[in-house]
Amino acid sequence: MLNIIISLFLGILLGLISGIVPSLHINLVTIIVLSLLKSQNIIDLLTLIVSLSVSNSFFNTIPLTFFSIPDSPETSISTNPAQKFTSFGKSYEAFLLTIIGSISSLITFLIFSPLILYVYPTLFSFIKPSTSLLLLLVVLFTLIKEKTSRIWALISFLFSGLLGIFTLTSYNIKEPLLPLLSGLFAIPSMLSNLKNKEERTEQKITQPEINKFRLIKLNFLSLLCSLFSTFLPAVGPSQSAVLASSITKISLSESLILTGSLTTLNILFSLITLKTINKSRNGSLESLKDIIPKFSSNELIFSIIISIIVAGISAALAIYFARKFIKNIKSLKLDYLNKFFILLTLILVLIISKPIGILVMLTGTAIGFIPIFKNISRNHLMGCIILPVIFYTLKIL
Amino acid sequence: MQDKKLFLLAIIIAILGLILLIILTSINEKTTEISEVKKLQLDSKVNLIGKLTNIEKSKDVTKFNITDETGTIKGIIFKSLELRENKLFEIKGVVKTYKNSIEIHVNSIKES
Repeated sequence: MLNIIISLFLGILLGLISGIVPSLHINLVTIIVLSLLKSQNIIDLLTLIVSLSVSNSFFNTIPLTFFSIPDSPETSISTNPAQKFTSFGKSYEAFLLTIIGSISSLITFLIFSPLILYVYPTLFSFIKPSTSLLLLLVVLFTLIKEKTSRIWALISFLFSGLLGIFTLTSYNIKEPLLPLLSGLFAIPSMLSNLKNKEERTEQKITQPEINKFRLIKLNFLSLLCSLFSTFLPAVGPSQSAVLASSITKISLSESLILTGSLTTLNILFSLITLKTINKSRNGSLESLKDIIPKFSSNELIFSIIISIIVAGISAALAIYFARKFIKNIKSLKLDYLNKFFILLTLILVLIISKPIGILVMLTGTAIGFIPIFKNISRNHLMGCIILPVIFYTLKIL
Repeated sequence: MQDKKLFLLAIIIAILGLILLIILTSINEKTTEISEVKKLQLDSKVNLIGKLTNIEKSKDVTKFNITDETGTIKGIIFKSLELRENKLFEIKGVVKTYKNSIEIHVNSIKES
């Protein structure tokens, strides 16, 4: 029992670190942890990985809401809403909205999980033959929904897709997601923050006003969109958000709730898919297959209980840290922080992925600037995962 | 620097980077010997050349042994494939463990 508690808190701590450091992707942390602790008891490792994954989904909105750095495709969709809240001095409120989304989606998930578990295998076998066609439709849909420039959205998608194909299929690049995602998402945002040295608005602790009926509606919508996205490899929370926003009109505050909700649901649905089809949509949970070849019902129930405990602790910790941030944000040298994270990313990439990783990161950074300069959504950069998957399902790769 | 110039620079770097990556990834793929595979970390990607034996095909999975001059290792691909016994194949995959023994989860396989 003591080992489980230690694993749970270690997982939360690692989730906090990987959530706050923009380039430290959860998959990389999981691989390092598993290689160091592979001789540990299965239940301890399961607790550790589930805690790490769930807590990361709470903490990974910190860089986005406080420093305008989306460190992953999951949170990139809310860059603009978060920046707008920050410009009004309401970054704490923006952060709180993502936490409300995460917690409320967990409750919705718990209510509907027995039904989802029951129907999922049938739905999956029905949809599986049409995966590549549905993926193409999702890509077309997100391109059509782009209001500013569809041409540049297509170029962003194709360039990031080509980069993804060469990076993910190469046998010379270790941990390819590290340079790929840091280059496309985190580094361009940090460089852009360094370039735009506007006077930072004073940040205050303000509370969001939430319409309970809208919150229930949003949760139900995000549950359906997340469920749909589980059938399609590479389609993540950012594409689910585009889908959700096309079904109903979503305000700035609601898009932040949606981000929290979709990111947490992405992890929780991975537990369901691990049990029902022995596949996970999340890299960290997928690594559980090396420890537990067949994920049983008992392990699923145990993981859900751990998720509930971790969600509660993570939400409380996240709010505590956010309040500390707000009080001390004036003394924080954001320029230094951005430079530190860029340097840290460079060192990590050089050590883990070697010089070829730096080339991937540099190319990714150049591609990642296209949406920033052209003011289009960054979810088109998810081409880095979606295009290789389309090619793979069509047996081109 | 003006935004337009910066944007142009980003596009040039993106195109040059993609071209360089195509060249580097295609000329620099070294083959791993099977005796070396056991020393690698889990989840390492490998590129093997070997003969296939003991091919077992089921609905969704094809299992086989891969043999080169240095040893034999189990391979598994999650597809039903027609593979020719004792022929030389070029195999790309990832090092995994199953029931305490190392095996290769194959991503692509072609006759060499």
